[in-house]
Amino acid sequence: MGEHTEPSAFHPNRAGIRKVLGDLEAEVLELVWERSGESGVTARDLYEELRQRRPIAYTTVMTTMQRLHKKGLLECDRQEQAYVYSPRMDREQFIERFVGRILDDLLASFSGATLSHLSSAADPGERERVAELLARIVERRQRGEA
Amino acid sequence: MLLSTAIVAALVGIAGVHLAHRAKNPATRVHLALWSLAVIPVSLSVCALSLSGRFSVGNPFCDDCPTGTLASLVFSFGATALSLALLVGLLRIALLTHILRRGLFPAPAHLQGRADDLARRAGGREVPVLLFGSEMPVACTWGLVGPRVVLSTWMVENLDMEELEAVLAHELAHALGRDCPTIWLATLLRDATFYLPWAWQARRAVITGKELLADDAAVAATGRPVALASAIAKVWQRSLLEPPFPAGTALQLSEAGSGLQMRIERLLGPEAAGNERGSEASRPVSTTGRFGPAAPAQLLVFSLALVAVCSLV
Repeated sequence: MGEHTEPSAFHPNRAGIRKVLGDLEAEVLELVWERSGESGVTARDLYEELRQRRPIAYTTVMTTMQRLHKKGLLECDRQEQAYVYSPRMDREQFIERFVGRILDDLLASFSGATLSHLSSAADPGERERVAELLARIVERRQRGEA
Repeated sequence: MLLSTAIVAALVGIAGVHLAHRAKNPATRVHLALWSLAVIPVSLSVCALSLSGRFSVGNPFCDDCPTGTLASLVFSFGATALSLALLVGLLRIALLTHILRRGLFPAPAHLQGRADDLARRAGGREVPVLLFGSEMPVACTWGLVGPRVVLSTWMVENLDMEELEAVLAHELAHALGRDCPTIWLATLLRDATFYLPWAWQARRAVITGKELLADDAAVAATGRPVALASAIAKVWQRSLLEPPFPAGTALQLSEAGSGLQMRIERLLGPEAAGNERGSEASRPVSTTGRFGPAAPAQLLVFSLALVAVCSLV
């Protein structure tokens, strides 16, 4: 197996695993995880599923899976005439890995600020409570309540 | 007698704190909490004075009870504790004055004008509004005599005019209700009772009660409970990123331990809507529930009764 390229881009405004992966990469990886109980999936399997959602080329799916393999997120085995892909890590392991990678990078570059923010986020529940209250308040003010 | 007075006073204090935290009326909450804080020092002082013979509520059935040494000891100990608490209280004021005086400047005319308008409608005197440059979310009332409203520039830059007006009305309620001396007194009594757990609880109940009363007064003055809730929530959210200002004896909008979530929920609930309707009748911006002029006399009478009862035991 060749050298893997880790996901390197981080998009803070995007949701879920799309923070570190492209849209199609994320979609393909999600599908591979969904089918992780199977012995593996081929590019053809995913192509058949994705084309039901929108028009897409087989080569696009194949290229995306190869890219995920290069990034070290998918295993690739040649079985008979086809390449069979399976996830190298489950969703939790992947999230843990990219969160750790981002935090390590932040700590290396801005250790003081990162540690300060981590300590202030000691109670994530409190942040959620404030965010929820603010959302309610914004909604009520938009309805014209003073 | 001294021991029994201390025990009974402590029990009364603890019961008072418990009742204060359960009180639905914020004014009652403040009143009960202040009583709880004051009952032990006042009762023990009366008891010590009585035992030393300077003040007679002694046991009528025991003329030969030993007096003097123990009473003097308790009296000296109490006086020392109170002096130390007073010193710490004065140091707090000096420190806060030193911190706040650096870089304070008058608020823009439109903000001061809005505050003056709110104060006039409340029938109170005009209160100076001062700003200081900071990314911390600070809105507080400061000053034992001649209180001033202090806002950080973060507040002015990040709150809209409705939120800012609600915050001003809240702080004016503290200023016109002379809440700073009350909180200072509560802090002094907490320090004088050697930071006993119930004293912390009682001081927190005083602060919560004062904040609730100021919230009510602000809603009555502006008719905008949701705007005030929004301002408090924004300040709370910001405080999670930027550590809050060490207010000491100044009363802050987002006072730690004042139950921010409870206050916001209360402002969003039907109770605040009731207060808002009250604003149509131009209710004044003021807070009640402070230690009124009659309260020290009531407390003294209560302590005398307590010591007299304990002397019979």
